[in-house]
Amino acid sequence: VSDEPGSRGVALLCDTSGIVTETVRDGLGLVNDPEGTPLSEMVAPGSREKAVRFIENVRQAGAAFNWELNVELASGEAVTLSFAGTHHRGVLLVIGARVLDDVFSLYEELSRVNNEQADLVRRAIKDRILVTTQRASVDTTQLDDLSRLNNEMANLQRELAKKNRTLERLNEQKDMFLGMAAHDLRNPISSIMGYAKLLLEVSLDDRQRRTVLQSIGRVSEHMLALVNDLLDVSVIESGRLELRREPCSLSGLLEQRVDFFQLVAEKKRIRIEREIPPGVVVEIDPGRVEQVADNLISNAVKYSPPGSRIDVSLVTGEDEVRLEVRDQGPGLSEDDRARIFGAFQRLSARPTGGEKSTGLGLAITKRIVAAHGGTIDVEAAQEQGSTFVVVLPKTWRRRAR
Amino acid sequence: VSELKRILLVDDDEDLRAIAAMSLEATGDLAVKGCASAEEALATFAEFEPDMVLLDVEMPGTDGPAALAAFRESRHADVPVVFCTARTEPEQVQRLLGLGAIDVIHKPFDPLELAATIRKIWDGLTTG
Repeated sequence: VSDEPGSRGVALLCDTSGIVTETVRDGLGLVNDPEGTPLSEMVAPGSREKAVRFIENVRQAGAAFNWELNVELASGEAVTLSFAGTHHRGVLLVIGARVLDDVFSLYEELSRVNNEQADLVRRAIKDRILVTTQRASVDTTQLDDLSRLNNEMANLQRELAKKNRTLERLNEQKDMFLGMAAHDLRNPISSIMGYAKLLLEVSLDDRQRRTVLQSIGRVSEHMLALVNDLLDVSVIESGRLELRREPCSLSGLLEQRVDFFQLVAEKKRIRIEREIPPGVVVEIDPGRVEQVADNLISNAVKYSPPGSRIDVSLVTGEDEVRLEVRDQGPGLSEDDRARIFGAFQRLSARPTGGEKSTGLGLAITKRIVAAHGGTIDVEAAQEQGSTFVVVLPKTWRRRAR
Repeated sequence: VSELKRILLVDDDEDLRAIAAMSLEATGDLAVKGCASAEEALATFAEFEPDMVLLDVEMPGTDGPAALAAFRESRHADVPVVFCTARTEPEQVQRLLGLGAIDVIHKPFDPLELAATIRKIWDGLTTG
């Protein structure tokens, strides 16, 4: 006989009518396969009525202790067992053993097992809840946090790469600016100083003096243009270019600018032909678009040979307008065409009348056009003239973010 | 010993040309012809027959060194050439002298000193 209490007793689960539903323990060899048999039929005939009352007691009171019932074991041995029972939610736990102590021991053991199982279940449930809640929290909170962080990192990385490219570009421009400042800003200043020295120290005739003073005026004008362009570039590059858009007659604006440059062109025997339909109204910053027109028309005059022709045309589409400035100048080399809209680029194209260039006009023009949501391109082959094409949207729709 | 009389000035900056011409004419009694490019200079040689060429180094298109090489290929291969440059580093000066220039003048030049500087270079060339 084992010392284990379970080996010295039986534990059965019954329904409320006393029919065995499950054998939890059978350390005594009470009966084979008792499931489906009423407890009353498992005891000796003399204890059957008492067994029915015991079950009734357990069911109604919730518990019963120390009911002695006579039982014939499967081995044929007739024994008197002490029975106890508890009722919990329609299930009766019935424990029988030779002595009451063993009943208690068995009951305690089962309770403990039960508690452990309950704990396990509780823990399992808790774990699952935890797991699910954790997983849920990982899913909904931590995972969200992680993916958000990850996204932020990716965005940050993109931003940094962008910033880096911008800085590289700005650094290149700074180098080009320094190179330009050394040449294009120092030269005119030293010219003015040289002229002043000549005026002061050398006896010049009236014609020479006049030439010197005209040159000082011309050099100063060019320096002013250069400084203005540099300020424009700095405003645009720092993203502070603010357009004041308003409905504006582009036809009128172009007519006026062509009229203005006609005078300059005539001096070089250059003809400006126009094809500008009246009444084309677009939403633009008139001051800035005038700058665009001025730059393109003045460039055409600057680089065109005497006796040639310039065409300025405006074509309206459904949503956009197309401005073309075509010249019969020397055109552009592949290399010049690739760099023509960059700032501080020195191109091989040369003004035909000794005009000066800041080298910034087209860079500024391109940025103004882009700020309007438009595009600028140049169609040019060497020796075949150049055509600058600006496309601007007619109306300004703030792009949804 | 020939005398320095005629200067060909090659510089893309119109104002620098004007100042140099005026100062050389007024203070040095020299005849000056200005050209904006190497091509223009080559076309001027035969007619103007300069005693010396002042050649700008930093020009768009054909720059100074390329222009000098073109002169050496031309019928006026022997004409003395003085480079004018804003870059004053000794390596740059050495490089330009190595190309066959007789001297290097720094820009911007003092219009009151230019004629004297050029005469000094000329004297060094004819006596040395």
